[in-house]
Order: sequence, then C-alpha cells, then structure tokens
Amino acid sequence: MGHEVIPIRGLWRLFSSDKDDANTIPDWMENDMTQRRAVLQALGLASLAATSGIGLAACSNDPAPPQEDGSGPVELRVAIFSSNEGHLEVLNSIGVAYVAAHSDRVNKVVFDTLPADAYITALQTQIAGGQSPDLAWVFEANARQFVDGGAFVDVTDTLKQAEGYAFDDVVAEALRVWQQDDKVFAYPFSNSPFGIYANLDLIKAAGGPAPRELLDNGEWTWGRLAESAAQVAASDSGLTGFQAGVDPFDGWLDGLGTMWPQWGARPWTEDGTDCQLTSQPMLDFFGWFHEQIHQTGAHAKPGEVFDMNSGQTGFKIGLLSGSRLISEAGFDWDFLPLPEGPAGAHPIVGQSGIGVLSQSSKIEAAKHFLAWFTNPESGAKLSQFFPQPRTSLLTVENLKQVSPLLTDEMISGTIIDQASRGTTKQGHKNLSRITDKVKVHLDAYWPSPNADLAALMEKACADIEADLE
Amino acid sequence: MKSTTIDKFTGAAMAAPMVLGIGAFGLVPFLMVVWYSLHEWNPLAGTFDFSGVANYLRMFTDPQIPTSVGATLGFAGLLMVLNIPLAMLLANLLNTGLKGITAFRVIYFAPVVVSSVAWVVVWSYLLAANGGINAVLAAIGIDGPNWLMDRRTALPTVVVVQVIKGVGMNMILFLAALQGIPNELKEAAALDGASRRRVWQHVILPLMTPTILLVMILTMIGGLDTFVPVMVLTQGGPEGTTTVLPYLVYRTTFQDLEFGYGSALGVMMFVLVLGLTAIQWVARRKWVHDEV
Amino acid sequence: MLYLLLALACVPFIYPMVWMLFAPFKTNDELMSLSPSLWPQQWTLDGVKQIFTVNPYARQWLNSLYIATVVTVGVVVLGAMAGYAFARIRFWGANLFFLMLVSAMLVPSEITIIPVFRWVSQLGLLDNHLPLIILPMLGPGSVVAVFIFRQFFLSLPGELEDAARVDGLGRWGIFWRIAFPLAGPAIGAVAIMTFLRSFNLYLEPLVLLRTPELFPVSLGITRYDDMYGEPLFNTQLGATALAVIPVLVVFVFAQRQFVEGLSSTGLKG
Repeated sequence: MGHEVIPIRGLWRLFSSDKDDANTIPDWMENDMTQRRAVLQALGLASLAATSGIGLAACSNDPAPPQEDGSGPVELRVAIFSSNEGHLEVLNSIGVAYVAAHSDRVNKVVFDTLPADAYITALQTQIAGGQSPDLAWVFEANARQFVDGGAFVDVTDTLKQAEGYAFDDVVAEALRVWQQDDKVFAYPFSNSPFGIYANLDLIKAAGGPAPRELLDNGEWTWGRLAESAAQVAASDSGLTGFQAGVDPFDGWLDGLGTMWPQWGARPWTEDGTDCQLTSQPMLDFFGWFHEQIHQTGAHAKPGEVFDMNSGQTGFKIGLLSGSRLISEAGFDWDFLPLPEGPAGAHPIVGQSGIGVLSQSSKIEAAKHFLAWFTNPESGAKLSQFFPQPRTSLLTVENLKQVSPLLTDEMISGTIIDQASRGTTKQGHKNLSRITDKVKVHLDAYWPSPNADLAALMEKACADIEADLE
Repeated sequence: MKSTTIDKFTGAAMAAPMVLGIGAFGLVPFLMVVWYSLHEWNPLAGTFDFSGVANYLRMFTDPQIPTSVGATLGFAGLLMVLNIPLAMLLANLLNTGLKGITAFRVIYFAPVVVSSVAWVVVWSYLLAANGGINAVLAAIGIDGPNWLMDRRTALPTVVVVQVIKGVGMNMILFLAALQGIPNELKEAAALDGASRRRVWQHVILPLMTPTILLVMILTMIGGLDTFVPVMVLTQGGPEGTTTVLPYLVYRTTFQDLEFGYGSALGVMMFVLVLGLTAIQWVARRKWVHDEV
Repeated sequence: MLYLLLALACVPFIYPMVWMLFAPFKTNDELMSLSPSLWPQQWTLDGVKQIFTVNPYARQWLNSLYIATVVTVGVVVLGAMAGYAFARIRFWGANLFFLMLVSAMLVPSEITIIPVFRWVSQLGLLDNHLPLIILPMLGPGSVVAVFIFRQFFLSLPGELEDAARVDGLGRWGIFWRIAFPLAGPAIGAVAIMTFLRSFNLYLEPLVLLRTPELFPVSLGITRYDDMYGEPLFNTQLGATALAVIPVLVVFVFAQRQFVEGLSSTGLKG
C-alpha cells in the first residue's frame, strides 16, 4: 500500500470529504500529498506512511456538498469573529433573505464564529488544511496582507454590476485599504471613525476649558488638548492626562497611527516601498509625543496603567464601541473628533472588511453573495451594529441605532462627518513583521528622557528596508 | 530480574499503544513540518513552492535569531534554577502529617488550575509601573522598577510569574516520589542514629533522583516552550529581550503568514530542545539512582 | 513558625485565585480599572447571569467533563502500561522507542496542528469529539505520563516482583496485581496533569470543532461578546471560574493518593 502512490491519490480524490471540489483543489496541495509520502518512504517510515495513506484514502461520511459547476445550489460558509447574539441574528437574517431570493444558487449561508483572539490562526489552519471558508471577515490590520498576498479575489465588477448596488454611494476613501490598482478586493462592512473621549469632570476640576467649546471656537488642536491633559495629570498622582487608544508602547502603529497624519507624517510611502520614519514631520511628531511623556507629563509613562472608564484619564482616543463602558462609568463625558495638528485635520477610521477567499471552492457563488451582503438593503440591516461606508446610510437616524449612547451632536460631528472623509491607518503587506522590528528600537526610545530619535529611526529604517517592497 | 522472550513480547505489547499513537500523532506531523520548512508557503494565496534550504539559510542572517535563542535559553535556565529547588522545598515541607497541611497543598497547587488568562491579567495589573507591587514597595520607601518595561527586569519578572504558576505541578511530582519511599527505610536509618539531614541526603535524595531527572526535563521543555505569558505580558519586548522562540515561531507563522519559515524555525527549535534533552539524558547514568 | 512561613508564602499563590473568584461579580468597569482589589466595590449579577443564557455553557461544561474523564482514564491505564514496560522490561528497541517518545514531546504543537487538521478533515471527523479524545490520549501530550510512570516504576523495589514471579505470575500479572496498585502517587500525579491538560485544550477544539453545542468550556468561554464585539470580561471570568471547580475537586481527591499511597499498602521495604 505504501508504494501505490497514484491509486491512493485517486482514492483520496474520490472519497475525501470535499470530493466535489476535487477539481478545484490547488495543485500544490496534491503535490504536497504525494511528495510528502515519498519523503516518508525515503526516510524508511513505510509503516507510518501507510498510516497516513489510510488517512488520505479514508472515506468520509459527510453528506456531499452540492457542486459549483452550476448543477445545483451550494452552501456558503462565512468566517466571522463575533459571537454576539445580536450580530448573529442580523447576519443570519441577511443570509436567509439571500437564500430565499437566490435558492437556485445557494441553499444555505452559515456564519461561523472563530474567536477574535485566535481568529487568524484558526482561519489559516482551516485554509492550509484544505477547508477554506468561502468568505471571511478580516481586521483592518490584516487588510493589506490579505489583499496584496492574494488571499482575496477581485470583486470590482461583481459589486459594480450588481443590481441596485449603487457603487457610487460607497465612500471612496473607505475602500482604499481594500484596493489594489483601483480593483476592489474586499468591502469594509464596518467603518467607524476614531474620536476623543473626554472625561469632562476631570477636565473641569483641573481648571481646563470644555473641549466642545474649543471645538466650536476652532481651537480644537493637539496642542490645546495636551495643555489641558497636563493639567489633569498634575492635579492628582492617580490620574493621567491623555492616552492613545492602544498602548503606544505595545503597538506603536496602532496607538500612534491615528495621530501622526495630523502632523502630515507617514511611516512609509503610499506604495509601501520607502521608509519615511526619518522624515521631518515624523520626527516632529515623535518628538512632540515624547515631550508629553517626559516634560509636560500629559501622557502616561511606559508601563503605567490607567483606565479611562474608571475615571483615571482625561482624554483618550477611541471608537464608537467604547461608548458602552464609558456610559456606565458615572462621570460626565464627551466624544469629539480627532483634533487638528500642525498639518490640519485628518480624520481616521477603523474598519473591518469582508471578502471572498481565493482558496474557496465556490468563488462565483461567494462573490454573488458578497454583492448582496453589502448592498444598500443589507447595509441598512448591518448599520444596526456596524456603521456603514455608504453616504446614504450615514444619517443621524441610522447611527442612533448603533450608538444609542451618543448625542445627535456627537453623531453628526464625530461620526458622520469623519466617516465620510476618513482614511484608515496606513497598512502594509508585511505589517506585522515591520511593526515588530521598529518596536525593538522604539522600546529603547520611550523610557529614556534624552534619546537620539533620528539615529534610532535611521536604524529602524535600515532594519525594515527588506520588508518594504 | 532478567527478561525472557515472553516478557519481551509482553513489554512490547504493553508499550505499543502509546508508541504507535505518539508516532502517528507526533512524529509523522513533525516530518510533515520538516517538509513544509523546505517551502515558501502562503496558504492564503495557495502558493507552495519548493525552496530547498533557503528558509534555513535565512536564519543565519535574521537578526532576531541570536536574541531569541538567548532569551529562550535564559528563560528556561532561570525557570529551572528557581522552580526546581522551590518545588523540592515545598514538597518536603508539605510531606508531613501535620494538621491542615492539605490546605497548603491545595493553595500551592491552585495557580496550576487558574486559567492562564486570569493569571496573566492579575499579574499585569500588579506589575504595572504604577501597580500593586510598586505601591507596596513605595509604602516601605523603595522606588520599584518598571518590571515589564525595563530590559533588565522583564525576563526575570516573567520567569517568576511562571514559577509561581507552575511550581505546584513539580511539587506534586516530588510529593509523589517522596510518598513512594517506604517509611520503613527512613525509620531504619533513623534508628541507626542518622540525623535528619543525613537521612535526607543519603536515603531520600538518591531515591528521588529518577523524579528529579523527570522534573528537570519537563521543566526545561516547559520553559523552552513558554508562549502565553510572553504574548500577554511583554509581547516580546522590551527591545526583543523576551522574544522567546515559541513566540517567534507563532508570530512568523500566524502573524507574518510565513508558514515555510515558521516551520523551519520550529524545526530549529526542536533540534535545540532535543540537543539539550539528550545532554541531560546521557548524563543521567552518572547521578540517577537505578537507571537502566 | 513553619505555619507562619508557609502562610506568608501563600499570598502570591492564592491571590490571583481569589481575585478570579470575585471578578465575575464586579462590573466591567471595575475589572478594567487598575485596582487589583479583591472585594467588588459594587456587586452585580449581570455578568454571571449571562453565562448560561448567551452560550450553551452547561452543555459545554459536560462536554469538557466527559472528554477529560475518558482521556484521563485512558492515559492512566495506557501510560502506566507503557511506563512499566519501559522501566522493567528490556524489550527490543526499548531505549530507542523511549527516546522517540521523549523527542515527540519537543515538537511545537502550534505547527503540527496543520497536518493534524488535514487528517481529521480527510477522515470526515471535523466537528466530532472523537479526535479530541484520541489526540490527547495517544498524542505527544501523553509522553509526560509515560515518563512519570517509568520513573516511578524504576524506583519501586525489585524484590517485590521476584517474589511474585516465584508465585508463578507473568509480567502482565505482576503489572496488574503488584505494580499498578502500588503506583498510587504516580497515578494521582498523572491523573491531575492529564485531566487539566484535556480540560484546558484550546488549539485543537478551536480548529476542529464548529458547533457551539459540541465545544468544550475552554473554547466556550471565548464566546461572550457585547454588541460591539468587545469581550464581556466579567462573564468570561465567571465562566472560567466555574470551569476551574471540577479540576480543583479532582485535585483534592487525587492528592490524597500522596498521603495514603504506599503507607496504606503495608509494603515492607
């Protein structure tokens, strides 16, 4: 048995659980299977190889899923990272409506929750194991990895040509991180602007001006925010003035990427090939932020822990999703747009996207469903939980559903206005490797009151040169 | 006692289920990982291209590797140095019939059961620069260090958190061994007029050596394979000082999406651990009682 | 004096445990705050209530319990057999096979999960409990059990077996009638470790299961999110604390083995 490579491979194709997809199993996987067996035999482990052969040849009892060749409706599987009941209810209702309208194409849409913490791990294991979901939600941080890495298929035409889709209604800026050469590879089903949560009680007690007044007077700048934050920090040793959303000492890009655009800075060029960490705007920004840690004391030091919702922080960058906790906290608060910096205003949104996986065996059906899932009607349903990147859906009325805790003022100023212009933080195909390498240098920068920033950034740029391609 | 042919068959049959199972579910998948490591593999895009030993050559130029190997060895070494003597001490203290000793056993064992998430969450609060431990230190006039953010303290701090979490398990193994020593032996030695210390040194300790070997190997492997506390407490920082190999493997594979290179790192880690284990295994005949 | 010392040393061990037990009754705010205080400032049952309503927790709890029990019994019996064979019988290739087992322990599971997943899916056993029983029972995780039993049987006095052999018992008989009953402390240690390992299994159920009703607790506790997809910490911690209870109960019973182990068998050294 161990020697009969070809028949076993044939058997496997006949009986494996995805037998109907046998034609679409990528070549590399079959090669892998046969070559692996050859390696095992070469290593003299014929008996063990036979064991794995049994595995390959084994018959599956799963009912065969319908075929993709148009002869019958298929079942679609969508990987998601939320297990919230309300989310699942809305998603399933969209799935049911789709199946009702297109029973000739799809007989079921299954939304499969993978835990957010292990989402990418689980998703990749499924794909690497030949059981790719047909569509998947993806965090913004993975966007370029998936788009540039070939994980998603091009859906531009599908979306543009879908009936009643109104492609022009979609905010163009919102698609940017999911595009490659004007081709759309995924759709940001959640598009939520970053803003500033302010603890009005603390600010008032420290003698600072109400942030909304500053905003109305056109004085809402990072400089004024930092001044007010420094007052809060100085008023009590148990308080800090200001916190970037994500701890910037853990995740520098997530924590600070919402801020440096207002300095006109970017970590690398738009096409992702050249390091810009040594550019003057970037050095200015880091210098300013460092000053807030070591000189004015407005921002917490590395390793210090403060919690906005417990009333320990004056200002904090956050998304709409932070409003539930802060509203339970029992102090007077506000949610404002990001302040202006030396280079003016530059709104930033946080997103999650959904796309069709290139390793799916039902790409055509999945594309068709994606167009339905992101059309204006489905968008209206989704906007109950996820702010939509469609101009027609960015209304106070609509957003009231997802943000019952915000005032109309906050919704129109902080959400709608910003969501219709905002871009995402800059991404990169090799983002996780790049951020890790730069972090090593920043780790040395933050704790030291007088580190040589320019020299550190030079080294960081040298380290990531190979990854910027 | 000599083993007859029938004995040999019986022995082979008794060991067979485990040997076959572990071969099939442990070693065969590992050989496949070796196979993957010879490829450039991006499952998301469905590319799987043979690249020979390129992934292994890349390790020599990867600046993360020396730091990471150093951090891994430092972590495992410090863990063994702290964990094993402490476990031995606790086991001996708790191996008495004193009233209420069960309660202590349960308490020292409790961290083993606590979910690692809850465990790490609590400690990250306690170890913050302005956290509970530094508050206590400040109360007695000491300016505590920035435990997790200072490159000098981060690694030892994570090790100590791991020691407290895991020492209970080693304590249990030592307790089992202590209980396995017949009381009569100790009593006989005591009757001969040996001091408690001499009984421990010459009767108990030699009989414990098989378990000490076991605990050493298990602790070393556990230490070399530490991952969750690093991911949560330090994310490999500051300045890469806590980027241990398993964390690097995880990051490379599932965050950087480089399955081929990640597999090669995994193989390298396997070889490293195998080498260190082999040294302990070969050295065992010199000091372990009754080894065959 | 000894008590005082032991009690003092307890603090870092017991503190996180107690914190975990009180945490579910805190509000999410308080949990997220710096305060590592044990006693909730404001008691709430909101977190605990949701444990059973938004997720089939009871079912998941039973799944974990039965899987861990089966795995533990299997590992104790098979591990003791293998451990005894390796310690006492010089069968062909014994040393080589043992080294093979030890080296299997060194394989990082984050990577082998991919081939394992592939096999399970090709056998049509995805979303099935069988792999979650077989893999921990016969997989690399069980090497520790074999190792513990081997080391334990090595230090068991050989005279006992000689006597049994004179009485006409074969190896199999000696193992079952003499060696295994004496292995109380090792059985206790292996049982605790194995039960714990199975109960905490995360990566395997994560990739091998899809239906929430089939999930073990370790995976189930990740399924408590609010309407923004943010985790409900107090509910998660409450579910975690409840999950720990069976493990502690197993420990309290198993640790008696260490007190009663050999002293009650009437063994003369």
